[in-house]
Amino acid sequence: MNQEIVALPAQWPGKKSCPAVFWLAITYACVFTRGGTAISAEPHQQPKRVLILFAVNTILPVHLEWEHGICSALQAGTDGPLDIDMEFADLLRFEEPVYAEKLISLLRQKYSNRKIDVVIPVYDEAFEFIRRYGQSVFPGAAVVFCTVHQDAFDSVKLGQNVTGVTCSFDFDGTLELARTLWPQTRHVAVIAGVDASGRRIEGRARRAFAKYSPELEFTYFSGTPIEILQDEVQRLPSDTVIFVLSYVKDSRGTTTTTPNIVSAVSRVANAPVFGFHETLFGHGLLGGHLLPIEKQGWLAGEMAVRVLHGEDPTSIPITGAEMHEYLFDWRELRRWRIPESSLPAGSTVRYREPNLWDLYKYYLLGVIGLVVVQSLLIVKLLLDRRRRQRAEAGLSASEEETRALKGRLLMAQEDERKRLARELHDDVSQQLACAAIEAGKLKQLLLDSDPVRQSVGNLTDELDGIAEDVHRISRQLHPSILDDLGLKLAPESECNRFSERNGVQVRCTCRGVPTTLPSDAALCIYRIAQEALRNAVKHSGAHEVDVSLTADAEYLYLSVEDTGRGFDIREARGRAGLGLASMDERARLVGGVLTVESQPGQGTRIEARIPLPKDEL
Amino acid sequence: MTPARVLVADDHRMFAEGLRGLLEPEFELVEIVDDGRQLIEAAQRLAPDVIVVDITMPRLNGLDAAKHLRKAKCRAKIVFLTMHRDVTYLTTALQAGASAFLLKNSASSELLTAIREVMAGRTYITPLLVQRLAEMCAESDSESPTGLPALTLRQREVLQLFAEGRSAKQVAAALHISPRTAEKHKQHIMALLQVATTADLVQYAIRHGIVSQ
Repeated sequence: MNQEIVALPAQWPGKKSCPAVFWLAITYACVFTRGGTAISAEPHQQPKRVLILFAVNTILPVHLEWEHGICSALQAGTDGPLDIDMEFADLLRFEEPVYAEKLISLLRQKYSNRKIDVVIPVYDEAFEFIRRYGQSVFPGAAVVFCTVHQDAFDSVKLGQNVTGVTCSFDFDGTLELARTLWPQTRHVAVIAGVDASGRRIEGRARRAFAKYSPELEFTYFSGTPIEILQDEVQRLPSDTVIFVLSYVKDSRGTTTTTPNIVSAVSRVANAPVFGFHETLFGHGLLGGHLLPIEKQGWLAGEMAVRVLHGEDPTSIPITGAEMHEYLFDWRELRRWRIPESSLPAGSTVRYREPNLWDLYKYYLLGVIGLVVVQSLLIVKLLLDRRRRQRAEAGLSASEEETRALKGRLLMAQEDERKRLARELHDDVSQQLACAAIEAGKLKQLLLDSDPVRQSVGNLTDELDGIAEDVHRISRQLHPSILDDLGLKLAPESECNRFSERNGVQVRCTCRGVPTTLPSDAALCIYRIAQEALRNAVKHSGAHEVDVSLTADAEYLYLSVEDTGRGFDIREARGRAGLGLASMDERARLVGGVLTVESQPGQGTRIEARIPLPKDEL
Repeated sequence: MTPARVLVADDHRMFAEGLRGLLEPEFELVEIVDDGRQLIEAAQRLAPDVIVVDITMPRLNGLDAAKHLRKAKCRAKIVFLTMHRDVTYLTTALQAGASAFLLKNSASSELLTAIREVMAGRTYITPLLVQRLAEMCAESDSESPTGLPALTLRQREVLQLFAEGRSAKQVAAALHISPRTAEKHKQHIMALLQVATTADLVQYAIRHGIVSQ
């Protein structure tokens, strides 16, 4: 078979322009079987043979679509062995009768031992070839044509075993579509080749468009060479649309493909390009009401299956004229700023460029997720913080309250003590003094020798002792000395008494203490001094204590310093009984601060700093 | 010799009446008053020889009344008769011009003696406090100040800033106090250190290493 293919050109007398390879036939036989089980079950069954005859010589996207549609339908519809052959007849480029003759003889020879059951001629030229020579090349084969224009078989009588899928270009629909999408349209540039197919389609177009004149102006570029065409389409009036029909050969005889023309034109044109079949789509076509190629193929394949199953081809009606789909190229829509909303209902938009979202959807989702999670965390932290702040505010408020309450308690206690002290001093003490005087008088009345005198003397001493005790208690309850002598002298007195009572040396220095001081501040300082002195003896075991009370323009300072054994402040704070808390409380009560410095073995220093009232300055 | 005329000031009427029984045989009790104000008025009106006065009294206490009387050139001898067995009261009373200081409990045995003593131009102090007074004098002798008084921390801060040549306003700003307070501090310090001028103040600060030269 290879030899035959190679041999053919040598016998070929025509064509001078392509001497080496002027005939090219790509043949590939695809053997599709429905699986080993089917074969082993019916080992002697002859495979059904289908031949797909393409009119062209090259595999363009369009052929893949046809082939895919036809083969898919065949495979889906048959379950026995099936041979599918394909021939690329190159009929569009070579229209000479002698070429047809040679082709016929080649095919006849090729398929002399392979009986073809169904021939599927694809496109007008292939159909015409089969219509004319089919019976002599493939005797007995049924014909299921694919994508053949109505007018190609309208005027001829179809044979007995012929059916197929017809097609049409929707000129009117496409023009209306163009006018809708490109409302300024006044001019239509129509591009077609001067090959047979191109001329034929152009003819159909002219007939279809004739009725739109003179409302629209049509310019036909028939076989205009590509470079001239490119030049022309750059200078079209702005109210133009371009229609590309079919273009295989230009006026100079150069062959090309319609998709080539579409992309060359679209690249430089200043007007949108419309087309009529799906094959041109994606090459720069804006879109159109397009003929779907793969579906046509599928339809033809289905018909072939029915014929293979024994159905009479003539009983299968010719269909496929109304299959057009609205199809648009997203990039071109963008280029010509045509909104998708203006497209007809049911339109499909392809080649949508992925936007950032499409490209980075998962990254973006990830980032957004992270941000959301983080935001939630932050919100939670903020809420926590707020809750804590509230709790703290509540706590400090309740601390304030507690402090205020403590203050009031201290005040109430002091008031009560003062009342008791006064009671003792004013009542009990005075009565005791009276009694003492009476006893004294009685004693004076008695003679020295009188034994009663001794008893009266004892009574006087007794009364004296009681009076002294009562006075001491009264004074402990409330230091009336503060009221009498003021803070300047009261500490000194307290120190003296303390020294006397406890056998401890207490040095007291008072300097710069203002004479007038609010009584609560004075009492507070006094009480702190008392407590500190008690601590010094009780806990520090000190034998020497220095008490110092000084003042400057702003503060009153009390310091009580001992040389005792000291203590661990942190430990002591937690322990009740030291009176640190009560000293602290008293200092706070008058807006002051208490500081305690102590270390085990290092003695203790307690200092209170109380702010003086401004008017004391 | 006419008996000495005694004025008694004590808000405890019962006790005062008790005193009457104690005093009358020897002295003339001219009047008993209840508080310090009445005392001042009665003292001027009656010009007694001796005033027996309590310390703790309403309206005006005995100490302040005594100061008033001294200021008013009252020549009456003042005898403090009090519940306070306290040497601080004692010294304060003496500073206020007291001629005698004794305790109410021992009035029956000491008051007449005390009045006699003061009438003779001497001072009487109850033996119950003499001991303490002596001790205190001894202590204060031993404690006689050797250096100048220590300043408070705040005063040292203020002194340093002034000694560095800052104005009261600057000192106030540095310490977050009012200029008036700063000025007040300065006056206090100058009084304490017994210096008269700011230059002396700077000298002091330098001498004591509060600021460097």
